[in-house]
Amino acid sequence: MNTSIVGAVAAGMTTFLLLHVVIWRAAPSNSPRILLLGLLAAVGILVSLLVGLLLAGLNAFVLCAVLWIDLFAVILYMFVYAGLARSVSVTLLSRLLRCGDQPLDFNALVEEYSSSSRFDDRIRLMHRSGLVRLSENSVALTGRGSALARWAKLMGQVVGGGLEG
Amino acid sequence: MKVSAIFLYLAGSLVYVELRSLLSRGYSVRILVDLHTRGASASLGSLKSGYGGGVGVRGMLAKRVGTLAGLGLLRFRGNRVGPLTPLGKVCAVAGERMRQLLRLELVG
Repeated sequence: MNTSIVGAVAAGMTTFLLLHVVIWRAAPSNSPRILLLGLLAAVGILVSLLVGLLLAGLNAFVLCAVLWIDLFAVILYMFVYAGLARSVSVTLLSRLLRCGDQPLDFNALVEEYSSSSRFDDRIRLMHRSGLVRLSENSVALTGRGSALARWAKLMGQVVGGGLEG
Repeated sequence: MKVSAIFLYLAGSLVYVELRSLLSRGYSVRILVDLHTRGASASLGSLKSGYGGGVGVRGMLAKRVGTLAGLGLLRFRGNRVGPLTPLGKVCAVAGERMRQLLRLELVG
């Protein structure tokens, strides 16, 4: 692959990841902040294109390659980040890591998860995101949450997957 | 040109994979769908016990443990979950380190 492309992509993605880590560490939040992450990715892609321009001049093929590789890298990172931010599976892996070589009883795992605040925490996060309204012990959909639920049901039918959760 | 086309195709494929993953495994998405099915509101307790159209937290965890075992990240025999395989340990450590690096606390 052209060294200009590699250099440009490396510069842009390094910028994106550095900004991401610095901001997330300086201002931690329980919200996934996907829009902010997208903005940082856009900054990274811009840096890639500028470096590409510097290294290869106004070469459309190089700039297109830089753009599509950056887009692929950003989408891949978003996938990884979604898992880090919210994945129950990653939490399960961490839990089992603490057990060393000892297996856990599945019922004990269910009991532990059920009695933890994780489900309630998720509802509170959804409340803060404006998807649900939490009052005392009841949860209600907001307009936004209802629209997202309808979209999910429609997309579930379109792509053919079950909304198992 | 070929590089551009390949990565554009891969980017599109990834978007599809992420969408499928979100729809089939999304915790929050499933909660929203459960609420929608119940007429837009429910008590916290009934929402938790009836999660995923009735499978509850047990069903949710069973699905995830089954998938992790299928991916070769842990052992799952009868009612015994674990231990992690070497690959599972690598993924667990990587996940923990990245969560610590990004100071992500309230997770799944």
